[in-house]
Amino acid sequence: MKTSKKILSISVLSLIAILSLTGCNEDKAKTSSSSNSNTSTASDSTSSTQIVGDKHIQVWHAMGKENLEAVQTMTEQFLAIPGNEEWTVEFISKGNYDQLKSDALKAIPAQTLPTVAMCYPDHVADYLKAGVVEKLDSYIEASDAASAAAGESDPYQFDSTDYIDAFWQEGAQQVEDGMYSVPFSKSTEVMFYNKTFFDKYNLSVPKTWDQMETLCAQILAIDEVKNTANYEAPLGYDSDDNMLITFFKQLGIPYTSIREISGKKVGQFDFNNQDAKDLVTKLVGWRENGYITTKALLGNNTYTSTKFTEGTLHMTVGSTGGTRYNFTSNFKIGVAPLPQWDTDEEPSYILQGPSYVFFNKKGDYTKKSQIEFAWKWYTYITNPVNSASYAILTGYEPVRYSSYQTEIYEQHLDVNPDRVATTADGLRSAVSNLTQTLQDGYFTTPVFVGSATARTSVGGIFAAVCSGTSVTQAFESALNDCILSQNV
Amino acid sequence: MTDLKLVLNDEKINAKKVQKIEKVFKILSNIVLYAFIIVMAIIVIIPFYWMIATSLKTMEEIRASQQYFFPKVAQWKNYAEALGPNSSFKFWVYLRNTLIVGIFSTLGTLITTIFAAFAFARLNFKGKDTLFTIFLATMMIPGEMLVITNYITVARLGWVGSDITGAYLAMIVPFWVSVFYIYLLRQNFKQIPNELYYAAKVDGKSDWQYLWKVMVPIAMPILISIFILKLMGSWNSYVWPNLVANNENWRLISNGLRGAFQDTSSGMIQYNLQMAGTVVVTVPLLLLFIFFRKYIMRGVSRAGLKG
Amino acid sequence: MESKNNWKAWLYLAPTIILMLIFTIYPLINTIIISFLKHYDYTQNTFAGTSFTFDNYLLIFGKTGQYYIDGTFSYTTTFMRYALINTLIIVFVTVPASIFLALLIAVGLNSIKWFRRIFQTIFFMPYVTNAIAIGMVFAVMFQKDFGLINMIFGTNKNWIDFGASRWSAMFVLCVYIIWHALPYKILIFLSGLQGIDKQYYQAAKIDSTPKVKVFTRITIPLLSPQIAYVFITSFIGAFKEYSSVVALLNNPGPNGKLDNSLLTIVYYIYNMMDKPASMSLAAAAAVVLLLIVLFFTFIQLYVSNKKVHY
Repeated sequence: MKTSKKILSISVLSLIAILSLTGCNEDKAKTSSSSNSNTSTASDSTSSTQIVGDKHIQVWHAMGKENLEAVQTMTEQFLAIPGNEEWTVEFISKGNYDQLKSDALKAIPAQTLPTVAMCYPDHVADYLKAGVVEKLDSYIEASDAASAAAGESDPYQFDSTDYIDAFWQEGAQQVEDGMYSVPFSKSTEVMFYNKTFFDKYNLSVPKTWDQMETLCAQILAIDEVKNTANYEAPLGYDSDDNMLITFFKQLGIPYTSIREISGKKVGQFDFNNQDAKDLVTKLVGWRENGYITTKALLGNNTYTSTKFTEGTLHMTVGSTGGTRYNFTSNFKIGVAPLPQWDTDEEPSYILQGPSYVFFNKKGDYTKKSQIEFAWKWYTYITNPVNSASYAILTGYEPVRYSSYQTEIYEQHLDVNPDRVATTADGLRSAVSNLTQTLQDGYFTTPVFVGSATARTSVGGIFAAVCSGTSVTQAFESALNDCILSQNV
Repeated sequence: MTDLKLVLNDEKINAKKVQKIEKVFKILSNIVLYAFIIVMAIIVIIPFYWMIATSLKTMEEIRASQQYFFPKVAQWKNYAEALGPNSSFKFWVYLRNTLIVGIFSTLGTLITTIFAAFAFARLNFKGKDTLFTIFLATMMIPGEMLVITNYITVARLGWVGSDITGAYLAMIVPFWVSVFYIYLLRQNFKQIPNELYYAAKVDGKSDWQYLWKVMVPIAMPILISIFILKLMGSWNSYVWPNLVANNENWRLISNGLRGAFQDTSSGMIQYNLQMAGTVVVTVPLLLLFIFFRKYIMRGVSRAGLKG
Repeated sequence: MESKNNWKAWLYLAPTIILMLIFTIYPLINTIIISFLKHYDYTQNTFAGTSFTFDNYLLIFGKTGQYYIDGTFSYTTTFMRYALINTLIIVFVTVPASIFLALLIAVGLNSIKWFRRIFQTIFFMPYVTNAIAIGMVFAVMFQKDFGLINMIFGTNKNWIDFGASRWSAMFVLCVYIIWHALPYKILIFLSGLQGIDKQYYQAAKIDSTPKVKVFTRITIPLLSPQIAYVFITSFIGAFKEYSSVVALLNNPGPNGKLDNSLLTIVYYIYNMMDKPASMSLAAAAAVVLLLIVLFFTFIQLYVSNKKVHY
């Protein structure tokens, strides 16, 4: 009997231990929130215990080290503003945007969402469907009024009309009416070319894709190119997804749309059409002629910008957010707008880059005051000066019109042409000058549950056909993927 | 007589011949044996060599189209950079977390394993075989399938995103049971002769005393090996910690390794630093193995015995 | 004999059973339920329709559906065409191959005199490595233009780069899996071998039995418990293969995002789980996997109970 008592007590003890650990942990969370809520600052997010409390917000992001440090510096300044001192902001890195989205979706049922997260508009569609996204219209109105009243000295300088229109409107393109995300770092695609090479052979930079086709044939005929070891192609396109989507847009080929079915807006996949298939067939012809390569075709997660700097590509289309990866001191680099298919139409350039989304967390584990504070934080880090300095650092574009008039940005834009070729800063500056003229042509695609899948699966079509899948089959399997991502 | 002598002589010569042939054969087979083992060893070791070589190269060398077997100049500074204070790979923080999680989940596992293995090996109860079969069947469940439900469970328990203790608990408690080790230890316990049990009973020892005084000491090598294998497991675990430890400072070592050294805006990986980090992460495990090799070997040797 | 132990035994088992109920059985039942719900959405805990349905199972086995503009389409045939077949290939190639190789190496290691410890350590090294990092190393080694393998054999074969065929990529994958699976098996066989009574070999030596015969008549039968054990555990492991594909290709195939030619069942589950809309399919696939593994395991247990010498 003695032994069995012992066993009983041990088992009970172990159970109690498990339960008490849970309890302990909750107690701890409570005490820490009351005692140290104002000791930790943004830069203090490295402290090992996390503060959970009312005066605390959490930001999920996928920024690299340098970009994060820039945002943290702004956040420290923000927390120093009178009235904000008691608050803390915590940054949690999710590594990349796919991971961020996947974690956020799991956090919905677990009720562990952050206050604010970086996002692509495609992701917001999924969050919105789950009913966890805060509608921002009232915050915008309030901030507009507050900043207008405060005048020049206001540190936030909020003005919703000052946000670059194309960027701002992106946040309102969900299937439900209203603003659901706000722009943070935006970019487009431009073409980098090997200026040394172009000058040497007196080549002209193509404005249309037809010119591009001729140019590619011309480049391949040059002896120097024929003798280059491991030459890839004259042209590289970094993003397979963007390539087809942009081409669809430029040619007016249906891609996706939103239609109403019994009063509900539903996303629809239209890309499985003959024009789209013809385009892909044409592009595969380019590939067979050795004109073009993409990141998917290079494989091994190799970017075309890498091959460009190595000299085995002479042109590369890439994100302006990754400008620094196209810089090399081996040759002079030129920047040009993305060529178009149809010169009669207005030019189209894809708009991309992350925004911020605010969670209302469905349920009562968050406070309105936290969302309000997070919103205030957002308005501060995108005030004209901050937006300008972040843009200069990263190569993204400022999100405010007035950022262009700030002193630092004017300095950044004022570039000596020689510097373009010799310094990475110079190249970034040249890109900024270029993109400033492109903004009217920015386009986005409809956002709905499944639009993220449409992007990636359409982006896979070209590579699939290049590796031997039939055009029909490639489009069909892309469509299948899309439909699977939607609850039809 | 002469005939017989002749035959004997003949046999002598034959025996010598046979001995000689045997000797040659032995040497030959030894050569073949060593050749085989050396070739296999090279195959096994090449990826490691490549890992170390990469960790000592510059990014230009790694990305170049022409690859070389040796780094041009060994870039030891990659290690300094990968482990330095400015690195996003916080080795010491990750190491601390990994050790805490590893040790506590191992201790918990040992306790549940000893109890369960004892019950299965020594005690008799209704439905024992059925239960054991169910246990074994759970080994076949793909862990990925359990992830979402378990994530919601630990979140409900308040272990996700609260503080570091919560993160530790979330990484430790769900792994306190390992059917695999229960199976392993049960096999081991079964090896212990019944006579010992009856002798203990005659001595008036209870089951409890018998477990701790007789069985556990006998099974000590396998317990140590479970300890080490489990510790290695937490060294390499990735998916679950990545989900529940959503703060830089709560990460375990392989999560840290995966996340660090990658430029998030472009997705480019600094392979040389990543490999330097990998080498640093691998070495302690290797030392652990070399140091405890005897225990690990002795432990697993019981694995396949009749159950 | 000791039926009074009944409740005591349950006490000993209590911690294990409680934890298993929470972290294994409950999620498992949950999964099985989800596999019978149409369009289960875990973000909101909702599903379409009102009752249980077999649709998810029919869908993963290629039932065609209706789409509102283009007429019919097949939901997905990737499970049948790739996930299932690839997994079976991996299982039936890598498990026997790695066991055979491990056995040879273990026997070799057991019969050498010099450098035995060093070799043992070398052969255990793959066990202590980060699978993701080494997978990347394999990818570089098998690269077409400057990979080590083509360099050594003087070939120019496209193994796993863009344009590679399903079978050459599968070959590399199997090599990687075998490589990674060797150390543990060698370790078990080696310790098993060391447990074999030397008398058997001495007897064989006196009878001058050929080495091959010693191997097949003495070593293998005496190692059969270890072999059976390794067979069963590595079978289960191989059915759950997933991270090796991620490590090697970071994609279910070498030819871009639509390429599923190296998809495995667990990879399929992971992909489907990633989108809330296809969670039900992930659940159904997981249940199918569970049934397949159970089926093969019971066959193996049956065979090994007949064949294994204890």
